Amino acid sequence: MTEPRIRTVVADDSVLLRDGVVRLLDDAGFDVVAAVGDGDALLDAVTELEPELAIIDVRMPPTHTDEGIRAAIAIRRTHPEVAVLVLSQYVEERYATDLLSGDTTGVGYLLKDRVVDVEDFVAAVRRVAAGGSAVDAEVVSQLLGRTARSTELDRLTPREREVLGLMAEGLSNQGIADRLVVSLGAVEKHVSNVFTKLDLDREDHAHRRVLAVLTFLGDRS
Amino acid sequence: MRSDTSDVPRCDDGTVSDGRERGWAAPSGPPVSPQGASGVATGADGGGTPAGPATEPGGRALPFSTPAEAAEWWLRPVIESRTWVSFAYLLVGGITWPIAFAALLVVAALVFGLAVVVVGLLLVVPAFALVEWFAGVERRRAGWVGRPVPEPAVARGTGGAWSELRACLGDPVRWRHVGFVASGVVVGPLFLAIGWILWGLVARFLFAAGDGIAALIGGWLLAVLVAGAAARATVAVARVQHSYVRWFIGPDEEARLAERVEELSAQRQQILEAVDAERRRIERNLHDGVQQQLVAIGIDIARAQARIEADPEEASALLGDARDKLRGSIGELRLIGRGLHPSVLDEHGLDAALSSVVAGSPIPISVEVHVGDDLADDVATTAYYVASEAIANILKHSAARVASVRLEEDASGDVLRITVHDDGGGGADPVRGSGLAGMRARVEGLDGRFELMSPPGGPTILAASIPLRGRDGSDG
Repeated sequence: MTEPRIRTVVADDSVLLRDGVVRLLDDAGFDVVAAVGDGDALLDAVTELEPELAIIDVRMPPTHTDEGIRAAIAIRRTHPEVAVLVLSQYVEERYATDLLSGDTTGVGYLLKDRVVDVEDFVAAVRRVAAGGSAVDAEVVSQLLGRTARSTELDRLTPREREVLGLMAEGLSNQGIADRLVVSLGAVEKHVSNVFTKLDLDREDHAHRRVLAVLTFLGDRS
Repeated sequence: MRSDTSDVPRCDDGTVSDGRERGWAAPSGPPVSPQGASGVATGADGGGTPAGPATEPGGRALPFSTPAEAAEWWLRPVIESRTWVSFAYLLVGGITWPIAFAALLVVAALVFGLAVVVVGLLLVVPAFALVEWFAGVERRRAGWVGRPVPEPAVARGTGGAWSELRACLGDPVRWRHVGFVASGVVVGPLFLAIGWILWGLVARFLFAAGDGIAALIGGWLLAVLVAGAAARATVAVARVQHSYVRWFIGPDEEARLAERVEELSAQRQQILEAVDAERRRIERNLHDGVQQQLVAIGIDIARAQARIEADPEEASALLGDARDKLRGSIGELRLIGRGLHPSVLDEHGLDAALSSVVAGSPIPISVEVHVGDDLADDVATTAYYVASEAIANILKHSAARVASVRLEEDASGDVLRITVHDDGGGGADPVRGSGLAGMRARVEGLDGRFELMSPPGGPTILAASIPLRGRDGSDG
């Protein structure tokens, strides 16, 4: 039984890197239908080819600032069925929040460094393509470090904090279980405790609880 | 009794110097201490050590111990050349200043009289020139009795008679000089009178009519007594006139310093911006260049790992790709490092450093370095930076077929000249290209000058000069 290959578009102005990502995805069984170098070409490709997934570099010509983010947001608006994963050189919290506010189905923000951890990267890509979310661990750790909610976070055990972080990254319970090498049941218990201790509304779907957790952590009040 | 301390020459700013300045003879006679250290310095710190008389141990109050010594000390100024130079100085001033005033009146009359016929206007600029000439003479003459007065900056026109006229009329410094000449008619004779007044007394005593030897000798004694005071007074008044001249037509220290501060602030701003632009450029080079390359290498390695058992040949090929990319990254890092600071410059000097920059060039670039090894670090670094940036620009943008770099000291040895020439297409714009703006900022930050001649179609000549000495802009 062969899984349908996920139709993907890759956008990155660095030929070297674009090429690498394409080959990597190819190895992993994705069907890369287009590889482009700027925002306009990306939008054209998405309109023409109707892929399921777009992997986009934040910085592209002409200004090399935030073309990728703007293209990603545009695609979410015009083609909401396309999952979008944005790759960034370094954590730009502003971009992360722009991307992740509102509907977090099928959206992700990762550092380019992650690409080198091929298994985790591919897992994150698959998650996003399937409608989940992927938030870079670096973003999560920055949020955890700077949050105004540290008193509430203190109520959590270290393990629960870990689980919280992985939830924020968008992992499903199974994903968390695999990462921490524990049983699914244990994860479910931790998750339940986290929600209770932090007084959050229960969200069962991974992508929705990402939003809940991120909103909680990013709360500046 | 406090002796006046006019026998120790003092500069305007209160510090004490040795008497061996221009026009001053060293005091003759046995070394005599000034009256206590505090007497000399008058409130300021001890000032410079007088090179002439040594301080007596114990700092005795009186600089003499016998009447003979006392007399000698009292009368010495009368025969010192300094006194007579001051004498002459006051005399010349007393005569020439009123004459200058008269001349000024005549010229002013002409100017206003003939202003109707426009001829008057033509006389304005020459009139100011005359005033300047006179002021210059007086500044130099002031060197007879003290340090020659430096010239202040006067406004000049940018070319053309009309702008020259406007510059003259609008320059407060020039008007100040006019005021100097105008007031000189009173001040000059006044200084002369005060400086000489005691000599009149001396003369009276010397030639006093009176009967008898006793009266004669008495007269002489009085004359001698007053002479000592007269000599000192002459010197003192001359110094006062010197200060007057310096205050009136000398440079305005405050204004000059304020100007210099503004200049330095602007330079600093320029340098900060250039450094900032540099940093951003390096960050871009690192991020967009090297970081991307490293991630791509990581992908190659990861893919190789995935195949290592199933397809070892493919794995090996991928690892080969990874090594090729690595070589590129290492080269790129070396270039970035050179942009920051080249170690070869420290170790082997400008010639070697620049030769290595042009070593890999696809076009012939000649390098001629004619500077000593004793170049200051910041000058050498800036020269290297300017030359290597220029070379990089030539290779990237100019499509030149040949280029040359020349570093040399000028004839006086005070200025380093950097000249870069290429026969390419020209059109380089120092405003747009941030590399060029950075070069200019660095050069000007060392009080140097930066010129770029790059007409469209070429050729392009870049000329920078950096002073090697006296860079703080002081006038000596």
